[in-house]
Amino acid sequence: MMRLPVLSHFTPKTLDEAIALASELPSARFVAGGTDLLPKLKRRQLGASALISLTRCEELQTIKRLDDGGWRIGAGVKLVELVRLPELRSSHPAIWQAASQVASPPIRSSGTVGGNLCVDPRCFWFDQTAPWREAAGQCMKIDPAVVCRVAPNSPRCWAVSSTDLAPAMGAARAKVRIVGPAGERTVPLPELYRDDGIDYMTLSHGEVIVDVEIPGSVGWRSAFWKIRRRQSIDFALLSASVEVFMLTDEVLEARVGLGAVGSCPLFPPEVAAVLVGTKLEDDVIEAAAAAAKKLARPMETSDMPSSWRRRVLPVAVKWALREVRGDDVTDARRRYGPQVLLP
Amino acid sequence: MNSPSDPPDSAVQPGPVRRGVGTIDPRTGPTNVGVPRTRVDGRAKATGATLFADDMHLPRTLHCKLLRSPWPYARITGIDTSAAEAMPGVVKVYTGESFPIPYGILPVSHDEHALCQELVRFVGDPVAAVVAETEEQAEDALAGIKVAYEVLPSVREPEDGFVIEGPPIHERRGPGNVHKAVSFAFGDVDEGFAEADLVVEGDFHFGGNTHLALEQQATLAALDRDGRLTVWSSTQCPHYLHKHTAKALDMAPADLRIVATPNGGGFGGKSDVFNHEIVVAKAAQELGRPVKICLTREEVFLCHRGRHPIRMHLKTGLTKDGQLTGVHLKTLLDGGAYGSYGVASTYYSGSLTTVTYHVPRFQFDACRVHTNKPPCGPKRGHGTVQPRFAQEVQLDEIAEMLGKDPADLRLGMLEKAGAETANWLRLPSIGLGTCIKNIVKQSDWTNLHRKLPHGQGIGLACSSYLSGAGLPINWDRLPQSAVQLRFDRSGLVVAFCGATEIGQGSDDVLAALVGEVLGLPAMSIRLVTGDTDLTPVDLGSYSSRVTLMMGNAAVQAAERGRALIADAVAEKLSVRASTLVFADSRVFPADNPDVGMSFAKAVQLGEQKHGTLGTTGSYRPMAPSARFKGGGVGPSPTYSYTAAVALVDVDVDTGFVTVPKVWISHDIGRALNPTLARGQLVGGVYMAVGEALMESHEARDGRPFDEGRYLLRNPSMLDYKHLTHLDMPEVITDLVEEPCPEGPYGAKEIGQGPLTPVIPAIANAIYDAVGVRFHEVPITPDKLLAALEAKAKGAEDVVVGPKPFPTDVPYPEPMDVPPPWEGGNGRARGEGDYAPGQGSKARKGRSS
Repeated sequence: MMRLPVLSHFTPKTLDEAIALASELPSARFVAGGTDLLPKLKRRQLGASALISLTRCEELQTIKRLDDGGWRIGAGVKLVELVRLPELRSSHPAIWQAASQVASPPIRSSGTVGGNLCVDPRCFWFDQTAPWREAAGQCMKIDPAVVCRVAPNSPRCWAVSSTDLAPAMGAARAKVRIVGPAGERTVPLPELYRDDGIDYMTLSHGEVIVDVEIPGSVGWRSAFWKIRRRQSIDFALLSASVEVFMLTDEVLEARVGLGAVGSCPLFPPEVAAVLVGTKLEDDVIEAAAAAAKKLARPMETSDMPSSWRRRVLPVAVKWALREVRGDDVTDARRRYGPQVLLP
Repeated sequence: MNSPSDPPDSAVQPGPVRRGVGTIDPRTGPTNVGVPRTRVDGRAKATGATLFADDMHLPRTLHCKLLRSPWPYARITGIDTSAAEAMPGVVKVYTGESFPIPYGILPVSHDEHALCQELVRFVGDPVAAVVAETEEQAEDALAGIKVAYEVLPSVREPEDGFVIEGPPIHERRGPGNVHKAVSFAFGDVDEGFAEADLVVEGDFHFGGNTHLALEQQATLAALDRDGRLTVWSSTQCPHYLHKHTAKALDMAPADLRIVATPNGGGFGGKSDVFNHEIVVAKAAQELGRPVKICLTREEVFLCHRGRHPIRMHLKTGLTKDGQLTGVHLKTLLDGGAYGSYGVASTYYSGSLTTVTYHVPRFQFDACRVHTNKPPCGPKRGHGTVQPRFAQEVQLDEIAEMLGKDPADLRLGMLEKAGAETANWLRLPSIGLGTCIKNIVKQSDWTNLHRKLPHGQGIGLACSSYLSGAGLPINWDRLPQSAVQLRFDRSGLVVAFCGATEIGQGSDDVLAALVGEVLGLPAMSIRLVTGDTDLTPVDLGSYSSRVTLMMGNAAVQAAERGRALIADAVAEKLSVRASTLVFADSRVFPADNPDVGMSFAKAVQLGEQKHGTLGTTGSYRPMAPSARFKGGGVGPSPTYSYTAAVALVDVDVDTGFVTVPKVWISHDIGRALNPTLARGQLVGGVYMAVGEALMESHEARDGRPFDEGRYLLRNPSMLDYKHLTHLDMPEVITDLVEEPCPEGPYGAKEIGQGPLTPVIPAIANAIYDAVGVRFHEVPITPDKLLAALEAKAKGAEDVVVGPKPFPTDVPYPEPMDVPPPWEGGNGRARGEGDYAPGQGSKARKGRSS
């Protein structure tokens, strides 16, 4: 079998202790559920001299309903706990739908909210074993001397952002609280990310996501659609999350999040702008979907060809918009993601 | 047929049985046969108690890892192992020079070495092995081995292998990298086409895929206290592993013991002899300590031996009332880097074309070519799945052209039970007509076909498969399966058999049949299987042979034991033996149950009279009718038949296909355990839907630069797409039980056949749903979406398929073999009496 490299493992009981440990150990990595990190360590895609487990840090375990109807959700909360929150399903359907479509039940039972937000961007050339990568001639993400295999003329890595929660939480105006050696800071969720397949997060060494604060959703409707090859386990080929604020049948405010179309989740204001002031008529939905297609530049990073992903992105956007409009989408859900039909 | 009260023929005849045996005693009804039962090995498997190869551990075990080639085709110009040898924990580093003797599963292609000699032939070919105290140390030391390669131009597609520039991948008769090319004319097919009202031709491609058994191969080897070598391995064929390990290590077979551990799935992927098995066997022998290896999932993908990618050209002629006049099939197989079972695969890519519908004239040309990819071999349905896909899709097209219902068209051209086909295959029983009628009714076919809304569709297809290869791999006249029984005074019956449980229910069949004859529940029979020291030979769990062959042997052994026991009991009770029945773990006169006794007491009486009770049974099929060269692949004691209907839902925006429901009906002869039989149907559907829609074992190069690289694209369970639970259709199973005279209690196979028709049924359903024909699998969303867009732009008759079949395939001149109805005698015209099965020393060891 593939085995982990030899490394030290720490289980601090407080966040302060965890951060202090990280300061002492420059090549340590934080680990929570381990569902993304451990396979990558086994495949020798990433190095680490030590793992600092966050699973015993109480501060990361919060699930709190806020006065405005919003939520504070600890980074250490397991995805399955979100799936088991009917109140979240009714208040923030898109976030619930995203959580319930991450990977598979065993992985959701171990994987955490923070871990999903930090999922390492993926690429066919990188997410392979060491012998495979050697036989393939390596790629930029593992060896800076090699050019990017999917875009040889580009100076950067195009590994694709593969978090499901980020597009949904970002569209829901979530803010992320981060604690590190230099203290605490809070940023809007989109600012967690950089558009780079290697250096994809704005966290510095020793910084930990503590929790995510999601504002209340009175008047908002939302939906998240994930396109993937199989109906379980697979990472997104594309995802679209839509949030619209409507008191009557007119959209007063809108946000759109797109996942797996670049190295970071996209929250394009120009797509959202198409929706504001409309009643989500069919032609508006078409126009929004077309705007999303224009923006997205999927690369040959994934299981399906980029040409197909480009063609199908608008489909995900359309279904999300139809769902918030109130259409019956049961049949399409059955084809794309039956988990979200399960009680 | 015997009355159950008299000793049956199989109990008294001296040699192996050659026809089906076993009759349910009408006075008691069945004990096990036909009763839905929990499988005998179910409890251990469900609770995790079963010990698989990787669960085995011995004190002082060393661990082995293999260094594999990073180049698709290269010459090894130097290996330096000194650094690795000095690394912590390393005990030994092996290279090719320690393994000079070639081996290979077929006598005609001994082209493998445990570690590469001069050439590496695919990315993943093992070059060196490290044996160390821990697996981590062995793995770390791989990096210390320095190998210098001279990279050679690699061959990637079979059609690039007819004429080559560099050295051939193997020295064969050629030309180029051709491994095997054959051609047969069973009657004049052109005459058939001239008589036809309709002649249809098409090019097809079936993509390669792999077995994906959940258990990764593992092997442990150790010397016993007497210095004899034992190898425990996850193998489907311990007998062949025995033979070839002994050969490769130049040792006496009697000094080697192979134990097949229960396989966590096989599907054909553990039927070859693998490099790692030979390497750890030698290491244990040489180092005097147990040595173990467990392959990673990636290594299992590289070992492969999976479904051959096959390109096909199929030409079919029919009369307007739907009778076939001739079929001409050409196949081109991408064999990958080694021979494996490839010669058999080459023949199988055509030989079963004739066993479902009456084909009066049949020409078949096949060619297997080596490429620098992981070697292909046998996977569930070995070689027959690909041409069947072509045949059944083309029949759907023909039905439309003739304005006939696809089910009716097939019913009208069925081959008949008792027939002998154009290529000399005997068909003792055919339940296919019943299968078709059953699924048509169950699926409401007539009301749905061509009547569903756009995007939804329904399709139908049929198939057939062997119940055991008629000839053994190594041609001899020995029994192909044997069972020994030991009757203990406690009443315990122990059955010894070389058969191998790979999840298919081999153990359950053995216990059920022995128990059936002796009136004992299957669960009470103790089994010792797959152990070359302890059990008589069974050739292995391949070609769907175990139920029929082992089953007949088991019934013979049990009937012999029963006769001995009945004799003693009859004497004691002063009744005629024929009045005794064996039921409910008792032996008693049928008309007076109260005077009977427990089975244990009966065994004691038997032992008292006859001495220690032990019996044997063995089975060897009748010689095939085909006596032409190449006619040895295809004959079987009998054939199973399957019909399937698939319902599909095509998402026209994305090209995604979901399969909500499959109806499948299988002619099994008799279901020995209906619970397991239905499980095989569901499992076959699972694998088939995966092969139809996603599974793809394919190589990629290093584009956009470094094109000399060429490796398996997706060697992981995440990237090798296969169905999850949520992608699995609802399956409606139907068992057609028309007992076959060749099988034990009338049973035929069910392990492999049911996969096959589901794939073309899905392709036909997609056509029904959206009007797009697929001449290739897998049917992926991108291909389907592109086809739908072409159709939306006005293209007519959209067919997604391969580029035209090459015209320069170096097929030989066809061998002219007259079919039975043209006065043939099973031989080729102008050839002497070519009789496989009687051995032919002249051919031995020659490379083909």
